[in-house]
Amino acid sequence: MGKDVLIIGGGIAGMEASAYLSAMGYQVTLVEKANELGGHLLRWERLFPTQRHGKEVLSFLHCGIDGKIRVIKNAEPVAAVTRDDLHIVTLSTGEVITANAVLITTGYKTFDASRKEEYGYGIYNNVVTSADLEEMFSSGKEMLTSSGIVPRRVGFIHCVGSRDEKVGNIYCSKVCCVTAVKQAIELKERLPYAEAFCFYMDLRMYGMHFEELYKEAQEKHGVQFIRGRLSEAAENQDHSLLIKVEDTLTGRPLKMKMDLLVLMVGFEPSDGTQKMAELFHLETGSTRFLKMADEHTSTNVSSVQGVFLAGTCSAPRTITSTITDARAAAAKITSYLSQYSIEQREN
Amino acid sequence: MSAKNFGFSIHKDRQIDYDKNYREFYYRVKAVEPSISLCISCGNCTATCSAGNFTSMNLRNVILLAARGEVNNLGDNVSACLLCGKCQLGCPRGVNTRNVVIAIRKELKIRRKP
Amino acid sequence: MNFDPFIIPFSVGATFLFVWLFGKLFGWIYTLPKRDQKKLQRHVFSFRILRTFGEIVRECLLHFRLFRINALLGYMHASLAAGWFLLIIFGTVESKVQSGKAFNMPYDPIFYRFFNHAPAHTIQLQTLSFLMDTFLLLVLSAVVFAWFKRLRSKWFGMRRTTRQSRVDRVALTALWLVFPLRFLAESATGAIYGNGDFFTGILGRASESDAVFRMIEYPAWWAYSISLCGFFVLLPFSRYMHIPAEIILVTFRRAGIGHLRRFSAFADIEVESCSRCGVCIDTCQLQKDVDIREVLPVYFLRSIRERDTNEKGASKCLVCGKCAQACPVRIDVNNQRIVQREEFNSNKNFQPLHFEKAQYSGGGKIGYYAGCMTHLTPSIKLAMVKILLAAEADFVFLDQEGSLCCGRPMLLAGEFNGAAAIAMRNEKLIKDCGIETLITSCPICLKMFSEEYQLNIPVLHHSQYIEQILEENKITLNLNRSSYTYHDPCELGRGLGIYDAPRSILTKAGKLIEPDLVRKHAPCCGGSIGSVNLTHAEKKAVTTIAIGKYVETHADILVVSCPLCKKTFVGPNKIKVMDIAEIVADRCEK
Repeated sequence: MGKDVLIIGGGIAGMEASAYLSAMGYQVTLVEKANELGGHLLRWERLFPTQRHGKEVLSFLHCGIDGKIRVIKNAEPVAAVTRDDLHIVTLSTGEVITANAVLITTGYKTFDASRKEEYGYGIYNNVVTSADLEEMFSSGKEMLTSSGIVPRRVGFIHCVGSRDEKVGNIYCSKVCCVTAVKQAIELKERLPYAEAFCFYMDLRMYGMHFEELYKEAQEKHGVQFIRGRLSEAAENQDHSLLIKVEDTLTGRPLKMKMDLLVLMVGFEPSDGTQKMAELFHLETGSTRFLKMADEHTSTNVSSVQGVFLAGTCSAPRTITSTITDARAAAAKITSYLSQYSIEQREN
Repeated sequence: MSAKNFGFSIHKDRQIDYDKNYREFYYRVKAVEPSISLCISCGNCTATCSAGNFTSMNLRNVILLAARGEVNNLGDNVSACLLCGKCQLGCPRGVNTRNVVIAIRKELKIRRKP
Repeated sequence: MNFDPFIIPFSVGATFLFVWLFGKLFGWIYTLPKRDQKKLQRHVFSFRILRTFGEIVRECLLHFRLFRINALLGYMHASLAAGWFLLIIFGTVESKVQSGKAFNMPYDPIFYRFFNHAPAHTIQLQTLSFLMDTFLLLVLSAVVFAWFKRLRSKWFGMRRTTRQSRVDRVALTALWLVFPLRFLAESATGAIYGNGDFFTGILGRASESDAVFRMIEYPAWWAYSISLCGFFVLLPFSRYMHIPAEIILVTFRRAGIGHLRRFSAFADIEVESCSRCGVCIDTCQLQKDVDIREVLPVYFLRSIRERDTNEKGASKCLVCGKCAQACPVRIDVNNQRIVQREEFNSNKNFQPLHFEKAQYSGGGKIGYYAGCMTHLTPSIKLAMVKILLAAEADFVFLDQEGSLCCGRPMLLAGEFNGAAAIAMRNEKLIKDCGIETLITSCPICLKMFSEEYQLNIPVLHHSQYIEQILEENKITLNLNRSSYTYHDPCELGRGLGIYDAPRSILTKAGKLIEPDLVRKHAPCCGGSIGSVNLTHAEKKAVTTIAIGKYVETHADILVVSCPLCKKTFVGPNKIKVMDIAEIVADRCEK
């Protein structure tokens, strides 16, 4: 025992893996480039499917690590070399850390919606992303459009930056469908007289209780669902938006005025994840997420010995899945450091 | 012995008769433009279509009907297309929509010839 | 009269060739539309024909354009063509001077040395004999170069050279043999009778006895005649048809004859004029980036010639025009391509059913037409509205509520009937708006408006308009420290020759860093509407390689002036992409 583990990225996965590894007796160092731990969780006000506050989960994660591990904030790795199974990582602060194992938990970033120019993000004032809407919710202020009116009709556009060859992202980001339903409910709770529409290609309510949330949105809140992908949005004189979709189930093009348009932005590997791929020479798959050694049996193993993956740096995940994955990574690292090789089982 | 007819044949059956339909049509088009099979019926093409606002042109529906072998009414549908390519820019699956239209037009023409 | 049986093959070959060529020329002129026949007539019987002769000498003999593209290749073609031409001219003079008659047999100059054994006794004949040897040396040097080119095309700066068809190879062999055989035959005769000049006399001077030469002399003249015959007979069926065809092409082009919306005599002459030099091969992005060879103009034109066009070769092409700008013969490959597409078009009876419902808004002097694609890049149209407002222009946004297509996509797909129907309707719609200037953001529309519509008003790309109002000080730009790199869209650059307007704007807005390939050499973004069936993956490969050159400049922003290029380049997410109108709108001050 007494071996060192370096964890890069202090989001959900990094925090949870730190907690488990330190509980197992390793010396854990957690590096975070921001000045606060929590990653994206800091920005999500409430979580699907339970509408529980993000803060509660964050404080749970903090309980696992506060005072138990070494946390280095405002720092990121700038160089990494491997010598005799040891990873020597230089941080931007100048500090050099030697570790027996490295865990990458650098996570995702949301898709830059301005790349879908026809949707008007960054061009029209009343087009926001799901992340922006979450901030509007958590600010606690009154929901108003840029023209200062209470929105009467809000559209949620699914699959922005996901499942789209044209922006190079063929994968499904997994969380946006249910997030749209969650946010539509939250919106209706705040503005009961507003209409909420979800525009989807497929509704992927695959998680436990997701379908119930969908049903609740229909039943209790009257959220309407239109199967069609937004093709373009234009701005009216009053800064409301005119959107064009095909209502594929009636089989006719549909145009509709919207006061607020919410783009459900998908996941892309974060800048940190891309940087770590370069620094540690990790393979990336066709999706640009870090490649797992095996999709079934070695999900936390990277293409480089002693470097492990957890959380959304390797695939889009929900918070639940991220936490589970972090714990799995902790178990994997433990087995690696105690020289138990799962790969042997295959022989 | 001929089957008893209860008069249902007065009106054409509304069901898609998948077994009798001309499904080879779709495979013939697909041989020319394989990307037709990538369509997920999202409707982006139809919503953005300049011709679709005025006519029954609906590429998503055309592709779907072709896949089912329902080729009888495709002609009116695709004939309005101006090949402007707006649909191709939006298509999330990278379907080569212009060539899908061209291939369907061509296949319909071949079919009409005895 | 000089005669020997070995002149028969030559005479037969030469007669065949002349008959064939005149038949062909007659056929071409006969099938020209009346209007074009008149044009040709007017041109041939005017002083302008002198300039045509000038071009024929410059291009068909001396190959100036080819020299500029590739000096080695230029030398090879020029020395072969001009050398041979001079051999014929001076050979004729020599034989006439020698015989003292104005008329002699046409084969006399060809086999001059065989029939005239006396050494050159006058100064005129000595000079002519010296010149003839010089030209022969020149031609032989070209043949040596040609051999090397086959072996090592890289030495000629060409990554790939053309793959030859069988007829071409036989004709090529015949051509390659003609001059070495002539050299051998003349040397043998020269050795026996001691009349060779500095070059054809080499062999005679080098050896003591002439026994060997007596043995090979006669067979060598036979072989020389046969190889000439072989070349002449194969010429119409091989790529060497380009030699006579190019002369006709130059004349037709100078007479103002061009492509029709079907495979015309002009198109046929162009096809025959392709020498298959292969200069186009290295310019083609589809060949380089995704290894599609069917589209290569050299093979595509050959397939037209053999009446064996494949649809892939016709329809995959991006119609970017890079090959055409590289072509030393200036074959309009783009028009060749779309004319062939017409052959595959099944939609010849396009019925525009719904056009009556389309409407544009009128009520201004300047009409702004965004174009279909620009509606998918709204920041461009908003930028243009902002600029027009800042310039206090009396303008109207014609297609704010959407538009008919301009018709160019149909034209490019070979659906000429449909394109014409759209053009007619659009022309009326635009004219009814009563505007005095038309500005568009889309180079595709611009090309269509300026070439296929009869609008009778100035049609400008927005970059040209912006340049104009900047010069008139209707708006000013505040310079900032951003660095820009600029991509020339195919339709705007190679298509319409608009290269300077965007550049002049950018130098006023910040620092312009040019990549390796600019202006007419700029790559296609890969998103071209010109290709009918390029797959998404193939397009993406082209785009990724094309954008690489711009990323290498380390400029802050890649500036484009086409909504389609913008949409295409945003895909890879490698560099910030903006339209020139956005750059101006961001920094424009009243």
